Amino acid sequence: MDSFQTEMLALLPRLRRMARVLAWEPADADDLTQLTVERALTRREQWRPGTKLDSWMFRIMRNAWIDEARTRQRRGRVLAPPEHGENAADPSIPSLEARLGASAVERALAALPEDQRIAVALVLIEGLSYQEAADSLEVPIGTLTSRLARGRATLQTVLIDQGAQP
Amino acid sequence: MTVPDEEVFAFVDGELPPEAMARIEAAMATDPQLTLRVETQRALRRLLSGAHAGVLHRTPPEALTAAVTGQSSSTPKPGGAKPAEVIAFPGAQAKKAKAKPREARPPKPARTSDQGGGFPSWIAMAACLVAGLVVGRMAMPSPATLSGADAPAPIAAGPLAKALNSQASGLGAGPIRIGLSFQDKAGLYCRTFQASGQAPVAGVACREPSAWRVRSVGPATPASNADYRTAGSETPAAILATVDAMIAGQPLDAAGEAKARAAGWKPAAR
Repeated sequence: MDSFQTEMLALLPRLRRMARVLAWEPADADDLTQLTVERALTRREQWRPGTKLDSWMFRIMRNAWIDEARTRQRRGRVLAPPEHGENAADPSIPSLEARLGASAVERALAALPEDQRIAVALVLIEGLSYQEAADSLEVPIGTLTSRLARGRATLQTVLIDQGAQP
Repeated sequence: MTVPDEEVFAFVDGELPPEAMARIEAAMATDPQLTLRVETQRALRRLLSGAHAGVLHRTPPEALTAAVTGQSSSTPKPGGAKPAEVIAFPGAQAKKAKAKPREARPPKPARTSDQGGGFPSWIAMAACLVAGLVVGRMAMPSPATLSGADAPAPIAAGPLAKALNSQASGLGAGPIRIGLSFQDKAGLYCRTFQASGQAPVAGVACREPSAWRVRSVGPATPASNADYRTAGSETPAAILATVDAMIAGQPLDAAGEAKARAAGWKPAAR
């Protein structure tokens, strides 16, 4: 195992957390984490040693998530049995079981539009700088900060309305 | 000094140039409203740091570490496998068949106390609660000065205002409970309140012509799950002392409270 892998191993818990922000269901989140790891390994020559591995891998994860969502939509249209309804196979929609176990913060986060949710997660949970988060999302820094501001405003309202219980 | 929201965010996120950071830090010393806005954002960051945090403290599943170390049969072949085929998000039935053990919900992570910049955690909670107050305050005509000790106390808004307006003393299972109601020496109706949470706060607010103004707010001991609560029994001593200094006569009984509520908490003519 080389230093690249060692660093990635150390990053696994944070990757799993970020995956839960995206996919919510633990099993789906770990599938997403695994896909991210596999993609990162096949693309390791694109990573510049000395730069931060976390923001690079968060970018891979987000792109993997988007690809997965497309695949899911296609599959859903073609294969989903009618009794499952439109959202049955969509892991971004939390199951009742997951909702009940979640904290108010997690529920509030899950309710944000995905763009804002990822921006909030990268900066306010993962502690990335604005520049790193903007790079992860492949958007200009102004886009990042405006998504962040909108996400923050909603979270503040929602969490205060619910009594700010962590 | 008026600080736009974006700048408060950037300050809390450590994204301002050093001189701007120092400027805001200095302004906070004389501007309680700014301090409140900053503390609210810090509290939000702290709340968010607990989201999905359980996963940080657990050993990742073997499949994942194996994927990293390359000791797994599912390691992709070099040259770029098509990853979309590796992963699947099956529907509910397929998921059950997969029988992947669903992890039990982790215990709540311990509160991190190292992020508060020296503020006790109840301040953060107060800031969260009071953030609603700030919003209310900003909708009011601006006072002559926003800084200095003579700035008016915050106005209750959001759920706090709702509870103060409509909730009966000693009742309610929600996050905010009202302890007791009384009239102060000026004849204004005042009510004590408790907001639950990991770091509960308690305070007193009085009904002024246009809104509830928070006269005092501080930390409270967590509410017990006692089967019955006497009005005021959980109200912290400090708040009770404040009430003692403010109150004219006795606290309102249920009938008096209902009457005052029906009258919109307008002071009865005396």
